[in-house]
Amino acid sequence: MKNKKDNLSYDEAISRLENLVNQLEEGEQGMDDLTKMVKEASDLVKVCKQKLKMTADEIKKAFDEE
Amino acid sequence: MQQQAISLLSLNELIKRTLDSNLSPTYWVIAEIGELRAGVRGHAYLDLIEKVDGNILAKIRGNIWSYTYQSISRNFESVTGTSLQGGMNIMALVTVQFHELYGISLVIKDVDPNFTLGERARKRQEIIGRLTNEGLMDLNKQYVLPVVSQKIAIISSITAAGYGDFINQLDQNSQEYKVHYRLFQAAMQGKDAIPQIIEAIHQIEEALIEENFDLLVIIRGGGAQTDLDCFDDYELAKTIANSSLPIITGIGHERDESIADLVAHTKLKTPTAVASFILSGFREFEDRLHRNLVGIERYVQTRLKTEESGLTDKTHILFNIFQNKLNKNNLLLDRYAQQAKRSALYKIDKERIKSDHLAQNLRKVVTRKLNKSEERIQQIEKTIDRLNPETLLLRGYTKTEKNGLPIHGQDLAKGDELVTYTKLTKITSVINKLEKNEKQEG
Repeated sequence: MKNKKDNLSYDEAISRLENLVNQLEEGEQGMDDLTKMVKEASDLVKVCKQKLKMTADEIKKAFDEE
Repeated sequence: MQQQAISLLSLNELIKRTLDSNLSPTYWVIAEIGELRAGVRGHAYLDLIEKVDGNILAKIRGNIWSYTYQSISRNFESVTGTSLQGGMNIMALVTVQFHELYGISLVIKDVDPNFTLGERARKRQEIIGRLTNEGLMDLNKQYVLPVVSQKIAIISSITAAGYGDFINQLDQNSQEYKVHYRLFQAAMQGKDAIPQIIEAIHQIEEALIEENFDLLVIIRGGGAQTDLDCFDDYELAKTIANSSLPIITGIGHERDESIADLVAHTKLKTPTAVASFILSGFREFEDRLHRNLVGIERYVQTRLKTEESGLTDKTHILFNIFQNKLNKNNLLLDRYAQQAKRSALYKIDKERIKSDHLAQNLRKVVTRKLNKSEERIQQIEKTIDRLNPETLLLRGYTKTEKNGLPIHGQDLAKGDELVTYTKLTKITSVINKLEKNEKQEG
């Protein structure tokens, strides 16, 4: 499960995240599902943040190399 | 009247006595020697004659006794340079002698050589005067001698020593010049000399039709310095002067020039001098050729050097021109290269600025996008945080479900079983009463 998350692209990750947020907003889930979804969303947030950080680092590196 | 006859001897004795008593012991007589013969014992026998216009008017025999003849000859030759001979005018001291057997004759006691000398000089002067008057003295001298005389007509006697010397010198010259010659024989002394030499000149004139002689030489030499009077002859001098060829004489005598020498084109003392003269023409010509060749060679060398140095100069000039052109072109190329470099650098700079600009823009865009993404994530994070039941439960809120689903949106009725989650507990309850939430109305 963890591996699957890591393999996601940023766009896939954010898309899934947004989907999850929408579902959460609707609040139609039971407590257990809700907790799982929050957990997954939090993980995806981490993944997205990590990817953004990597991207920012790479961009910085790329531009500063000139 | 009949005279008494006497014997011949008596008569001759009478004549002898008469002559002896009437004549002086000696007389000086002027006469021409008609003929001179040498006798066996050294005596000389001669005729003395007197001629006028070729006619003999007087003639008498004479003799010179051996002892006297030797003395007279010696004295005569030493003064005149010539011997007593026929045709010569002399002044002689004579004694008239009559011999009963041999008749009348003169015994010559002495001969005055000065008379003959003067006589000859007078005669010679007379001939020279005549030749001058007739314009013959310088006639032969008008020819221009050939530079190189290769064909020569020779008048000489084959037995003459001078002829042999002449031929040897021509044939055996060290330079090996080839000289063609042909001998026309003639006596070179004595009474036959004049007609034979004249005849030889005529023969040569005739031979000229077939043979192109360059020169005629009359040579004689090696003999005694006597018998040269023939070369003072008028007819011979005239023939020489009128010759079609230039004539060189080499008669070989030490005394004054003969008339033949005077009328000839060139006179030289000996036959060998004539040979040397002819060969010197060859030598001079060859020298001149050589000098010309040297001159040509020198000129060619100088010219070659001049041309060579001119060529070198031109090469240098050409080289300099090319070098200048090359340098100019190099400078031009350098300038073009600099210009190209400058243009390229300018363009590169421009592109760099452009790309830098683009990069900045890109960075901005990317950063903006990134920031936007981050913002979104933060928003999502906040939303998640907000929606996280844990957070709500922590703050004291609860969550109630019916049949495992949130109760909002479900129909609730009395007696329905509800499950309520708190932070620490799960409460199962049954609905006892349903009322409207007044706070939420309106």
